[in-house]
Amino acid sequence: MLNADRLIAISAPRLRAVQTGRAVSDTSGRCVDPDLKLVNEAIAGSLEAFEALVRRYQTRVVNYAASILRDAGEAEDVAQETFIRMYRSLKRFRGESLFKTWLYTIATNTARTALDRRGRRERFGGQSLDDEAQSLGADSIPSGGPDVETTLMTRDAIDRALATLSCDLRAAVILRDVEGLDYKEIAKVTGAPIGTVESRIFRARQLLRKVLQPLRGVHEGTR
Amino acid sequence: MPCDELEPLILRRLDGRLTVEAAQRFERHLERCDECREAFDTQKRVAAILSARPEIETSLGFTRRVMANLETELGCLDLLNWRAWTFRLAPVAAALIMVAALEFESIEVTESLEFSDLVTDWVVAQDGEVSPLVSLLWQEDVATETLLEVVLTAGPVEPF
Repeated sequence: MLNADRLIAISAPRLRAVQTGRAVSDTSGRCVDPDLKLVNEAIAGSLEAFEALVRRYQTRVVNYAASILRDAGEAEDVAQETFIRMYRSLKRFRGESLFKTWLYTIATNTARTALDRRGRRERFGGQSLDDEAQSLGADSIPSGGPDVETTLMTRDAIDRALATLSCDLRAAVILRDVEGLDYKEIAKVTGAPIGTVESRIFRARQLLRKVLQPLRGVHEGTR
Repeated sequence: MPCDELEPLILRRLDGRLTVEAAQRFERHLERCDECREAFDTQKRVAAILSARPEIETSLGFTRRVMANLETELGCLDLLNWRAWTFRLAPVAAALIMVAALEFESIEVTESLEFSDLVTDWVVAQDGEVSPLVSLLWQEDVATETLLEVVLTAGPVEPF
């Protein structure tokens, strides 16, 4: 069961950490899950707390799923399923890892299942690679900014590059570089030892070097 | 420091997880080794590009759809919860049991009638002889309609 004494009140300076799901430390230096209060309330049956967790993580889960699947519509479906699975499993969450880590584990498994499903569909349905490699829909990209086109192109280029990696390498490097999880958290999410996680991330970046070469100028120009 | 040991060190250096001494040794190696320096630069650049990946916004109503799906899910879970629905159906079951009990009692108070008794009453006359009307059944020239009319109109007081 969850330790009630791990609950702390979230102070204003910790707001950013809470918003990003990053662990914060209490006064005694213990690592405290910023989501634990909401999680406990959701376990107790509060749908409002569950909804707050959905709102907090929906963008990250959808983006993570989109990185794995390369399909914005399917990514939203996977994210929906992830949150429903999360609700079903809430009572089994023991607080041994951060809630965020646990949620990414569910998202990873759900996305992998979707990939397997898609693989079977393509094997039997004969869908072409071009169809599969449909880029993220333009309506999914925030509009109104002066550099919308650049944003669209950048994201598409990164996603195309990521799509060249195997699922294991892709998940590891996305969790590290895009989602900002540490190696220990990634090991928990993927179920691989930390050494394997480090190796996957290293190899993934080396493989991405050439594919991402055209973006170096764009990236450096925007900094 | 052999190059094949440098892979984990490159990652730790990027994350600032090396001690001061280890970091100094690492930097000295990079000054001498082009391959390791290139690998370090690659790791740094790719990580920077990926971390700047623009996010897509979730579509409007995403949370509402999750909550709607959850309500459907909870409804299904409710159906699977046998305690909940058996409790809800308990009054109906009790009513059915009561009706069945009342029916059983009403059958008991009336005289029990066996099918064989009905046949006997129908076929045999009071003096033990076979009713003359029953003999119509064996007569070939009697129409089916006539037989049916005889059976249907025969009363208990005056059989056939």
